[in-house]
Amino acid sequence: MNNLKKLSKNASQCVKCGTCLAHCPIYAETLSEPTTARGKLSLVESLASGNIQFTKKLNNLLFSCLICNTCGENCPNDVNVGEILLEARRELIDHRGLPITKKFLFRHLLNSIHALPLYLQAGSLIQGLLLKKIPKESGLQLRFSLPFLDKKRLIPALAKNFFCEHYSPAAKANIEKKRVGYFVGCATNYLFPHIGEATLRILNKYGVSVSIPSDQKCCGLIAFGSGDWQSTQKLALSNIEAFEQLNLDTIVTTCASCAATLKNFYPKLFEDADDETQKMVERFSHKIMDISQFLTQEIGITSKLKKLPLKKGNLSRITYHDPCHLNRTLGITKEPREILKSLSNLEFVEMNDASRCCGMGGTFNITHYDLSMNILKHKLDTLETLGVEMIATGCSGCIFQFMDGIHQRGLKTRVVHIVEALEMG
Amino acid sequence: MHKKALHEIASIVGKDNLLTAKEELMCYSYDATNQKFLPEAVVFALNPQQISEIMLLANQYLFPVIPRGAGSGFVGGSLPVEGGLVLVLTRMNKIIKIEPENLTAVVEPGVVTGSFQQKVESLGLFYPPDPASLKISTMGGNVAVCSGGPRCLKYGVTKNYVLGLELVLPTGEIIGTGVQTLKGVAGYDLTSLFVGSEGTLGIITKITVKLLPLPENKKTLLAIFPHLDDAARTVSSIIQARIIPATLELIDQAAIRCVEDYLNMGLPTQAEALLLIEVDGDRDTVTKQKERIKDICLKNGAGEVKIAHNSEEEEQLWKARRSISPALLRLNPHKVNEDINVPISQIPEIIRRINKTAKKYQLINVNFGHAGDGNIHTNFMINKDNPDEVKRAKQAVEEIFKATLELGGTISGEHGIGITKAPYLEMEIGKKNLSLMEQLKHLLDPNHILNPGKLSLT
Repeated sequence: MNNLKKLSKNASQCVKCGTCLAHCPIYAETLSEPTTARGKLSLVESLASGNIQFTKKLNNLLFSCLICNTCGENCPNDVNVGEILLEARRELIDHRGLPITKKFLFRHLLNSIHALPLYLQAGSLIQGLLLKKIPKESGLQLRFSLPFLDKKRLIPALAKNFFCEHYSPAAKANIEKKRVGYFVGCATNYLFPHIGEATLRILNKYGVSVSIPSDQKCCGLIAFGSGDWQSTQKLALSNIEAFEQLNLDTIVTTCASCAATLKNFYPKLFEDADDETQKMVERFSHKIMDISQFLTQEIGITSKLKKLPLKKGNLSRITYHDPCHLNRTLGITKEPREILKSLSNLEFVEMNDASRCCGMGGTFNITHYDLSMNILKHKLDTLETLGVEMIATGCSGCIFQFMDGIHQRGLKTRVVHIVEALEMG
Repeated sequence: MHKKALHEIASIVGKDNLLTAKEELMCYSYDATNQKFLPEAVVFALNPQQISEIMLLANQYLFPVIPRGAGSGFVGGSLPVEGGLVLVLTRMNKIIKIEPENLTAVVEPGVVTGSFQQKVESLGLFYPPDPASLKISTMGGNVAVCSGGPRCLKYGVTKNYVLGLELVLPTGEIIGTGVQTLKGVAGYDLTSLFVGSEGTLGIITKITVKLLPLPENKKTLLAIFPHLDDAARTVSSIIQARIIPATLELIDQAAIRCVEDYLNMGLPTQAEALLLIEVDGDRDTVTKQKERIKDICLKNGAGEVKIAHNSEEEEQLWKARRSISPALLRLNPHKVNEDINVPISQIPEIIRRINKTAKKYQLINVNFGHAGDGNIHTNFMINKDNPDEVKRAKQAVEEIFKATLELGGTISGEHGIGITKAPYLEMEIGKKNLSLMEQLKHLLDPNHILNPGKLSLT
């Protein structure tokens, strides 16, 4: 059976009941059926039956999706919409080719060890020219309009020192009880090195030495989500190779999107590969652990934290946003909350609809900026009503999105990664 | 459709509100029946004036117009069976006003029923009609098919709450029917004519509904019956004891096993039936009714009656009922879902007959639903790739419809007729009624352009 037929068979499991309409963050804004899961699934079916072709329109419709898979999670018929759409995008790219900008980015930049940092370092130098600094926030705003970026948006500043360059190959604990690998990910490496630094401090503190291979690359999600499996496979193989020689049992991540890619999408990419490759990929994926999971399960951090005496006085209040990739892809929801609840200096407050997608969706935020921000609006409304000082999450994409939206609305809420919150606790 | 017509529609609603690409049209070719008919164009209307102008064009160029809400119907009522223009009302979704002092509210047709309920409940008010699709289905769609739901046993169906409507007639006139008050008898009750007319007589653009005070208290009970007959008899016994619970739902053994298999929640798979009962009202009434219902269940052969003591336990009991639909698809990929309704006293008999029919045609059959008001959802779980099974299911449905009518029931309690039940409508209402319906249709829609091909109207 060819791929398209297989896809269509899966898509036809959708009985068009419409339950997805209640859960799709995009439909809530557009109220238009082509943006729903059942709409897109019926397009996939029609594609296989030859009723429609690989047109630009189809391309736009299949990319009008956050792949948050909230629809799939709530589907009475258990249709894995997210996976079907990711595969449909692959078919699209196979038939239509990659847009030139994406081709350059995925096939050249992401894959080249030296080129990306070089470009980015150049970027770090010229960002003062392109972007204007906003005094109080750590972010930057566009100074000039660019064709693919909205001028209003807030962009995090490129780090002066990229994380891996500084901390690779390892950060050793004084008394080593465990050893793990750290898959850093692009956002932490180039934009948020402080997340990586906090991670190292915490791990070292609990006797965990951390290996940070310098030749690790982008996880590839941006290419995978765009349908470019070929580039993602290349990235996957070099990442696996970078860690394989270190003989580690565990590789931690601090970005939900990277974790989902390494753990769930890598094996998918190699489903048709030879046995040996499949086994190697499985072995690698099996080692991947989100930092909150590692800290709670392997370190028992919550019981260690609870031993600290409670401080008196007005505690800062913190809430938590579930990244789609942690919650729906990997099923991690308890661990980050357990950590936040056991912090002595912070009061954890649950927000309504904590698992509602923030609207980032990788490149969706670039191709559909206004829509993406309208989706975020629901979360910001909740945050504003809740009136918390901080919101914690576990995904660089969500952090990026919240920073932008919070800045534009002029809220005082600080966006932090779970590991940052932990250091405050 | 004529190019010129499309051009004029675009100038009425704006280009962004008109879809003509085949890829987009496909997403309006289906509803919850999963049947597909491709429209020629899709338009999002934003106000009654636009709809009126579109209807004038439709009469001029003679193209069908098919009103559509969320597309969650089970009978194909919003399918463009003869092509034409699908008129989507989801973007007319404002709650215009809620007047607690008058116990009324006015909404646009695209308001999602569940969101409306949440809104009025936050004000201590209550809009009871609760179709299973309430999280997605629209007020306009609910009025068009006169939706029901579990709570309709005590509180009645959609038509019992509609006080007045604003509509665009097929010929383009905008009219108002009914009243803004809780009573009103001026002239023929045109509101009733349009409620349940399945979008064939007019396009609803505004709905005035009646509200109730939100009951202060409720309690949920789950009664476990070793024998299905006893459960069915209990339903009548409760009503005969002059207690009207808010809901009285029946779940048969096939459904119990299916849900248990799906969720492992510890349901009694040996039981032939469960009754899920909710009573509401003030604290005293609720306590009294709860105890009496428990007694009646036990006297009629219930092995055990569980009572939820807090909202978590309540949620747990309802979970079983709500999980039936998803769980069913594990038995077979497709379901033929009928919603026959019989007089309450005939429930034991109709269930016996349904099960006999299912056996005769070798079909997997699951019964559940709003037993309290006699509305049974009988589901034949089939695989549509098996033509023989499809044929047997069709024969079984016909046989069940006949039995339902024999017992004084109706072929549809709350889903409507649309296209899927159209062949059986005459069987129930007879030639004379059908002809009267056709005359009414012709009077209001002389060119037969509004939602054609439905309700077996010719």
